Amino acid sequence: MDDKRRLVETALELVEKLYVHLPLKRSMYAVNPLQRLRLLLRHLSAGDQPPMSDRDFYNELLGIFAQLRDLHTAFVLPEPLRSTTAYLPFRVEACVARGRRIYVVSQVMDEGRRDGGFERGATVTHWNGVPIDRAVALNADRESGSNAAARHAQGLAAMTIRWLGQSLPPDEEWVDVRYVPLSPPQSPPRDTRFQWRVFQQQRGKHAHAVARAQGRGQWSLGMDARGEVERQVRRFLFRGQSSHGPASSVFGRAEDVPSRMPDVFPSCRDVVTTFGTFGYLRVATFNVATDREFVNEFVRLVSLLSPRGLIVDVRGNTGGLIHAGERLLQLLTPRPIEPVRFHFLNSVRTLQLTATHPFIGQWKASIGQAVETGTEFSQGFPLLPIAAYNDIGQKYQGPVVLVTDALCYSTTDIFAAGFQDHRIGTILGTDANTGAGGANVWEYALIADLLHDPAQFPPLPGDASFRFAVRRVTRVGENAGVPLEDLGVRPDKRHNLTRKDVLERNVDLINRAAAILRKRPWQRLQVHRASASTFEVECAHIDWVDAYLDDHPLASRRVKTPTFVLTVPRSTRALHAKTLRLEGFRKRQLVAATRVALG
Amino acid sequence: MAAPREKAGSKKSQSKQKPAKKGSSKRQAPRDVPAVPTPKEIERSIDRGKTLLLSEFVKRVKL
Repeated sequence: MDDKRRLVETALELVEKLYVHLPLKRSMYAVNPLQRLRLLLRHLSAGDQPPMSDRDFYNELLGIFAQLRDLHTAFVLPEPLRSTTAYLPFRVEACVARGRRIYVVSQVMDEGRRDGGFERGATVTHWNGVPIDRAVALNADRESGSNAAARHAQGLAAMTIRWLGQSLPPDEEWVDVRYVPLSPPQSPPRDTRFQWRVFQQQRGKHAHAVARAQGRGQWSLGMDARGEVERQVRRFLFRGQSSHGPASSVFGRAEDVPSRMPDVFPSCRDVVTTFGTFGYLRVATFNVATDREFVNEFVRLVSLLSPRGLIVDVRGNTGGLIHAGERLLQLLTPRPIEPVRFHFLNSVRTLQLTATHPFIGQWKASIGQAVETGTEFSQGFPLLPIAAYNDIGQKYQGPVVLVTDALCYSTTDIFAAGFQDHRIGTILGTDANTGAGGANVWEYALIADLLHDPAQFPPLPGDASFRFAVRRVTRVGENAGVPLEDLGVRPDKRHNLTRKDVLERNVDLINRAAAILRKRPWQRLQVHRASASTFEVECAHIDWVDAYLDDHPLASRRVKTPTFVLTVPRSTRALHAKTLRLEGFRKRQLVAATRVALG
Repeated sequence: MAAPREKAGSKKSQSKQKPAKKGSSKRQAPRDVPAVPTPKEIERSIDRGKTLLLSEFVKRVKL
């Protein structure tokens, strides 16, 4: 009983004084997690109440966090649950056929194959006797998705895989599925049964680790941990099971470019469509050890793709290291990047934290002023100095389409918001919204370490844990000040996934993106050193070039030929300059930029 | 005073930080954060995992 009380007391303290979205969630969902925690504490403390079983207690605590509809903020169940994932041996994805949403089997493990045609392409119609659409909706109510699109996506994902760190084992031991086989055509529906199975990671000190960020990257995480665990486990369980299907007859495609980070960039290739040849790059996760390696690999991969246009597909990306996502933006635009702002809740705990730890000391002054200003949130600052978001500059100069869905979360939300707020290109969404997670999340162990109060924040029983959104995100540009949490990033254009998308490697989706790219002009601006004081400049679809030595103007000239030579005078300034930077214009609009290191 | 922040992706930012001297006006590094498993260790714990029926698992954990 003491263990249960300790968990509830810890939750109560941190939800009230550290959880940054509490005011928003109270307002948006009319919930009162503090009162529910107090009632639970009273139940545990009252001598006249029957003792609460572990299952009932976990159910209640999970329910209190689930009502926040925040995938960042969660109670993490103790071992052996948190290193265990329940799964069914197949995967179902939603798409639209003849104007109606259907659910198609997209992957089947060997143990899931059935003689009756339960295979890739089968259409699921009922789940334990309930029409599948209704079953997904019921499941969605139990999940923590925020907006309607996110709830549906989370509900569907949880139909076949559930990390037991954030949800109790399914009540049912098996599911009965009614499905229509892909072939022969007009097949009658059939029924089959699947046992739920569990996958247990190797026990040990690493059994429940999720984030890969090393060192101080742990303070800069923005990730749906549950989604990431499920992605990692699914990748392992379905290894060797193709989800791609046969080559499409609609367009040919080149071979994939091998990535040095295949887990992060599982697909990188040129796609040859009826609208032209464009690059396609899937970014499956931002959960990386360091942003440096990640950004360098992105630069390398896009340099190998068609310059006529790029499709960046971040569907299903549940986030990771925030720096990794935000620092990518500069590679895709000639304009400087303004990073999103992070805000703490104004409270005695956040004041204590920011007063004690210099790396978050910048937030202290505004939190201290809260008594006078009466504001709920601190002033906002980026996580890194602004120069860190602009230290590389543009590396891909063609037009870009970003593909999102409702499973995009946190760092991916931040990346998509930056993409939209800096007008980098078009966002093509397969759902009406992204997952809408706008915060920096800290694990309990890190919070306890920072608070230096082992009496009040001891290690939790059974390796249980909490995760809390501690710094909320607000957007920049035209959306300056708008929170990302719950509101998400609405795509500029929608594409309903088709059966061909699910079964034939996103063929219709890529064609749709290609149709958008075809209408966008492309350009090229490159500079190479020719001699100690001369540089050869190559241009395409650019009519004017400005040159700078560091930030000082050097030259400004009309482009008359596709290549020309730029001479840097041997002045004192030129001798000390570190970078030659070029900006390319078309019809007075800045359309490309490049830079070369000097010295 | 502006808070010290690491330079993104720098090698220095990934190495152990020495505590700043008392009274130093230079940027102070935050305390070392707890050690975390490396990506390879995480992958290994998944690669060495095992599967069993949910019903067996539930019996074992006695929920």
